[in-house]
Amino acid sequence: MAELRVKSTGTLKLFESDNTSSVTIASPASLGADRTVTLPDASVTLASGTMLATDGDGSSLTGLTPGITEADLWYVTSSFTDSGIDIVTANWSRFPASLGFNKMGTGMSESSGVFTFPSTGLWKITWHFYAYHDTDASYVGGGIYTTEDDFNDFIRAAQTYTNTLSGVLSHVGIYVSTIFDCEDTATHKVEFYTEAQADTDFIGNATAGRMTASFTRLGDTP
Amino acid sequence: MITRPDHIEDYLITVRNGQWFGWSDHTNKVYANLIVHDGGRKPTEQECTDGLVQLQTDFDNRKTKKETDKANANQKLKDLGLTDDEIKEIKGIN
Repeated sequence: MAELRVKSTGTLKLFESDNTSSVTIASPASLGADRTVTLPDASVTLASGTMLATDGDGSSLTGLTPGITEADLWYVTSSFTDSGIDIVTANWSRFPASLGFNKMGTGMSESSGVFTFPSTGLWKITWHFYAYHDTDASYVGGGIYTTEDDFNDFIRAAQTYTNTLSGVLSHVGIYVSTIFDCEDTATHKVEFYTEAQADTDFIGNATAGRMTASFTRLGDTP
Repeated sequence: MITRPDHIEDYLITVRNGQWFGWSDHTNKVYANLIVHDGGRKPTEQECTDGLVQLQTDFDNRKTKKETDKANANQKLKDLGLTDDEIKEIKGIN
C-alpha cells in the first residue's frame, strides 16, 4: 500500500481558487497510538460546525435533541350518568404505577378538567372512553377541545359519534386523537367531553383504564 | 346495569346526572370518602345502602323475569308441537 507521510505534527493544506485561504487537515500534537480515518464508499459533504464523535454505537453522542421527552396518561376514576355535551371536570387522576404506568418528564397538570402542558411543543393527545345505555339515546359521542386563549374560546380539535340502539342495551367505545401545537403553556390548554342524546352511563373506574387521556410530546413547536 | 350492582357508586350514578360526586381517596371508595362536587345534597349512608339493595333487587327481578319468559316461550312453542330443533331454528340458533 502506497503512503504519503507528513511528519512532525503534519498538516495538509488545501487552498481555495485564489490561493488566499486554505483548509488544514492536521494530526494532533500527541497520539496514543496509530489512528486511521477511513472514508466511506460514498459522497460525503461535511456540515459547518463541530463534528460529533461516536464510539461506534452512538451512545456517546452529545448535542442531540432527544425525540420524546414527555408522556403522560390520566384516567377518570368514577362513573357518571349524563346526557347532552359536558366537559369531564371531575375525578381525574394520573394513571397509577399499580396499573403499569409511570410518566415520562414533568407531566400534565389538571384543574377542573382543564389540562395544562408542562412545556411548549407539538403534542399528540388521545381520548377514549367506554359507556353504555338502555335508554332512548340513538347516539353517543365525545371529543377533545383545545384552546389558544385559556378557553375564552375553544377549538373542536377532535369529535366523533357512534350510532346506538334506542331502548336497547348498547355498548359504546369512543376514541379520538389530535395533534396540538402548544405555543404558550399559559394559554394553550385542552379538555375532554362526552355527549349523549339521552341518559348514558359513562364508566370510570379506579382499577382499570376505561376513560383515559394520553399526552405525548412529539417534538418542538414548528 | 349490565352486571349486578355491587357498590354504592352504582346507586350514586342514578341519583342525578353529571359528575356530581367523587371520592377523597379513589382507591378506597367507601361512604366516608364520598365527596360532592356540585354543591348538591349528599345522600346519607343509609340511602346509599338502601339504594344499592333496591338496584340489586331490580336486577335480580329482571333476570328472573327474563329466564321465566324464556322458559314460558319455549314451553308454549312445544305445546304448539314444535321440536327442539325447530325451536332452535326459529331462534336462529344453529
